[in-house]
Amino acid sequence: MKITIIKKGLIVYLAALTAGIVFASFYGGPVAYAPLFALLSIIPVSIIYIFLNYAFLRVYQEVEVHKLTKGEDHKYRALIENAGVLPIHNMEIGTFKSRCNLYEIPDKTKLSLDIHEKKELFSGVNCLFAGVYDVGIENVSFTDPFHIVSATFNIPYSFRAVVKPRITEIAGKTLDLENLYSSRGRKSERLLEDTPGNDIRPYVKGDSLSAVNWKVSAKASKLMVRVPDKMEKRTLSILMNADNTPESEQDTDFLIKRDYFLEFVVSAAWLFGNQGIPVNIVYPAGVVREQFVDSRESFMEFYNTVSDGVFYSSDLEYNKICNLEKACRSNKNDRETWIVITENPGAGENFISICD
Amino acid sequence: MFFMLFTALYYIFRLFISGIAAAVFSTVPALFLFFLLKDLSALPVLLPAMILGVVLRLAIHFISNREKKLLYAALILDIIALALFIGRSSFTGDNPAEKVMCICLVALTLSAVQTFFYESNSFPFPIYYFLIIAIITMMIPMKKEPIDWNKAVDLGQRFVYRIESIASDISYRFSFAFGDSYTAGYSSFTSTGKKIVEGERTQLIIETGEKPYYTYLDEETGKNKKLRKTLYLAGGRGADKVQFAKFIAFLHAYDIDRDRVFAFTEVSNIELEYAYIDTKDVIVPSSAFLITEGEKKVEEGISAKQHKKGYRISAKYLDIDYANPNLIAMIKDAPAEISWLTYDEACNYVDELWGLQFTQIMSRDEYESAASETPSGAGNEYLDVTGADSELKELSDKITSGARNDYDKCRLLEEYLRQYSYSKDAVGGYNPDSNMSTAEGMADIAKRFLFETKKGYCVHYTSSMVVMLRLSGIPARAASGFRYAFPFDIKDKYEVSSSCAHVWPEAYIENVGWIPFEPTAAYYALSNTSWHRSSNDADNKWTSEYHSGINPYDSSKASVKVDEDEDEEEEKVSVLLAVKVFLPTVVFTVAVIIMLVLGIYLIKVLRYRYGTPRQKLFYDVEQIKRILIKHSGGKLTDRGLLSDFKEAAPEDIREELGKVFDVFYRVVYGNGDSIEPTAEENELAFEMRKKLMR
Repeated sequence: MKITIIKKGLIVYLAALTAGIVFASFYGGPVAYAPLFALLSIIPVSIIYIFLNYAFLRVYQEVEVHKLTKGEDHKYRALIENAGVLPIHNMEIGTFKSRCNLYEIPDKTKLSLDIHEKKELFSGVNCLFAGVYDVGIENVSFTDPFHIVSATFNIPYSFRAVVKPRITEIAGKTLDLENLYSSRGRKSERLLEDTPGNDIRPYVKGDSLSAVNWKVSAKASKLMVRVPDKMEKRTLSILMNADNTPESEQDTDFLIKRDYFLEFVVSAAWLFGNQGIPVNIVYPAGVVREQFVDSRESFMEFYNTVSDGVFYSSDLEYNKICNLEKACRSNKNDRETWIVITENPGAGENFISICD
Repeated sequence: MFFMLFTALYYIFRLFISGIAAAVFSTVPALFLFFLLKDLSALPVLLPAMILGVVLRLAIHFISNREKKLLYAALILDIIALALFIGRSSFTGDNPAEKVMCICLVALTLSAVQTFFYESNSFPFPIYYFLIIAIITMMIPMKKEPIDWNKAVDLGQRFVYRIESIASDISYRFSFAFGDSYTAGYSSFTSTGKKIVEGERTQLIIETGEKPYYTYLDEETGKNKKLRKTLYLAGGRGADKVQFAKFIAFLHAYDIDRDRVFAFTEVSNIELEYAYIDTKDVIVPSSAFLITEGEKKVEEGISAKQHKKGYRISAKYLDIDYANPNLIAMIKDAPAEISWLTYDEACNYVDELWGLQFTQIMSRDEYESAASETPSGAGNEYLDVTGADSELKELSDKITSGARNDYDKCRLLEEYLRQYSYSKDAVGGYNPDSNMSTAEGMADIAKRFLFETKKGYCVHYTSSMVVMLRLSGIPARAASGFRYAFPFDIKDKYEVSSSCAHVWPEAYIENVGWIPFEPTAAYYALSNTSWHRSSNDADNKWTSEYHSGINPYDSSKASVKVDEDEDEEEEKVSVLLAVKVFLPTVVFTVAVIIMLVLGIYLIKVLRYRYGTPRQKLFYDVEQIKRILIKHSGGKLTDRGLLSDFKEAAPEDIREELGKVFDVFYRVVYGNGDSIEPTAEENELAFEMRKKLMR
């Protein structure tokens, strides 16, 4: 709650109050005292009136889809109801304008509601960042009739949007794929590469000349080729070192960073997947989770989980990520290549670090 | 009033039915009222007023854009009301209807001003707001008189004086460093009688082990009562031993014994400390007979050097009840000639009366010198009437014409002067330099006070009484110092502020001595402050103590006659207070709390029972949420998602609870006609709530 004193209104009020006091200092009776007492009761009554208005205000918000996508327009609806016995006059609606565009409900829209009246507001909504955060109506402001004091309250139930990040080329420009491809990594269970095997069969049209086993062909007097074995492809690991900022402190700057962080990670996963490079991604979704992305299905699973929110359920999980990051940086696991992506790099740290 | 009643009913009905129907229905109670009021002859105006109310209510409802038109009308009515109030002194508040009318007008005016100036005459703030203001204003009592700022001014002055006092203290401490003398406002005979403003600066601090009140048995009620002690502290006089010796001779002439003297005298001790006062005068109780500074006796009334803050003296004085009937009778019937006792006789007599060592008060030489040198009567300077004209003489003769003795003359003059109004906003004499230090100055102040202004304060009363006493042939003088009325609370220290500064007259009654009077109308006359003691009281504890060898005056713990009774009385009073005040308060508070709790519960039950299916569902869901939050021990927070609550619910009811929540979401967010909850769904929600409560 934020209470603002409006100087102009206060000065006018004090001038009127002074006039009332002066008048009552010379004259008695109801003609002098009635205006004075009425003026004196304006501020306390206004405060109580405003609090009652707020206490009986009901705000419900919804969007047509369960998960929104950054930059896409969705239908938004807000139902605002006055459940009290006092009318609401010129209530100002404040929106999360730095996070989303509500096309038909501009910030500071004024709304009046009679007793037990409800009104619906429709608009298109466009969320500006990926992540999980409140959008739509942020707060409501009430002002007393004589513009002396204004009180702003956050609405009791904000609409929490789950906004999916976009998949872009952002990661491709940054990561050197050729080098990463040649470096060591884990093997995929599904993506296999061919290696010459020990089984022999007769040559058929289309077989590679390099697969011909000349020695056996000479003995058998016909072309014989080695049957290829399947070998797991080598993979990379990405560690998502997300920031552990408490929810209450997640401001627009945080959302911008989170947006870039998510977009980068999903783009990288998509890119590696497309290039046929399996990627193992370690990230926090309440607890530290590990997702192996080596197909469209596994990518979508990762994409949906990450969209639902990247967060730590406890400090323990955050410590796990931090310890893992230290281990990567010290290159203890020399059999893997790690890409550490730090959401909020400190002094001397990089957004992306490749540890191989 | 009737219009307001019907309007209030209209707004209530409008919650349930349409506007026109509500307007018509709101006037239905008028029918019942009509039959009730038609035979009421005591207030014939009620019936026409009610009819007017009905007509107005209906007419206003059907006037288009009526709010705006009413607001214009309110402004016009304001002008008319103000013109009538100022021009014809109407609306004085004698009639409650005037108050109601003024308040209604103010509420309408506020609404008009709000609409015109704050909403640009378009969309006014709801009238409910202004009605609330009107109702609150109506509950506040309104005086006929304008605001009395005196209390605020007094408070401000106290604050200023407190600051001033701190500043004085600091300047006082620093003054020694610069060798400067400290100056504060001790009143003196240089008072001219001009307008004064009282100060709150502490000038003296009194310490005493005695109770600050007398206790006596009220004959009318049969209860013990307290009477505050009043102490007259005179400056520049010191210990008046000669007066003490004369009083002994006076008592001896009547053969007063200890029992009788106790009825109207008491020996008291006090310690005095000078605060913010700079004077050479020794300020002590007016009938002090022994003053000591440490171990040293203080003989003079005016010291050679200025007394600084922290100067301490102790004084022993004879507190005399001048209103005691026995003493008054003795004064009135004072013998024509009194012979002084010998020193030894005086010692014995004083010892017998009060158990005092007279040798400590007066030496033999002092006593014998006083007995031989003190002439009969007072000095001629106390009969000086310079400046008094025939008009004053005529007045004093006229007042004292019926008196049979000097004391009666004094009382008549005192009573006469007490009729004059007390005011600090006064003027002095015709000559601006006139003051109380000379007979001429006092006469000038008295003339203007008695015949022209007829209002004043102690300076005017005292000057007048002194001059008129002298004109009546009675030696008189003015005493200057402080009049301090002790509080009822026993304290370690009593602060005498500069507002207690006072002057009072003293008349010399032959063979009795100087007797003080209090002609200042703002204070009780000495004749009205009797201690209500009789000589029989002396048979009580005081005498028993005395006979058992305890001298009540040896220490500062002088006994008051009904100490034990007083304690018992206090205990009784406190028990009575507990029974009469606290018990009902506690019972009432508990009853109010119980009623509030029951009332809230009842309202909830009724609202639920007679609520719509939607309201019932909302209430049930709200309660379910509360119960689950409570069960979770604060771990569960309301994020606005019912799925959280579903997960927190016990597994066996989770599915059914999910159905309830689905219904809730359907009702809140759904569109179409079939979104309202059915009776079965309501029943399910109710059952869920009950299960969770169990």
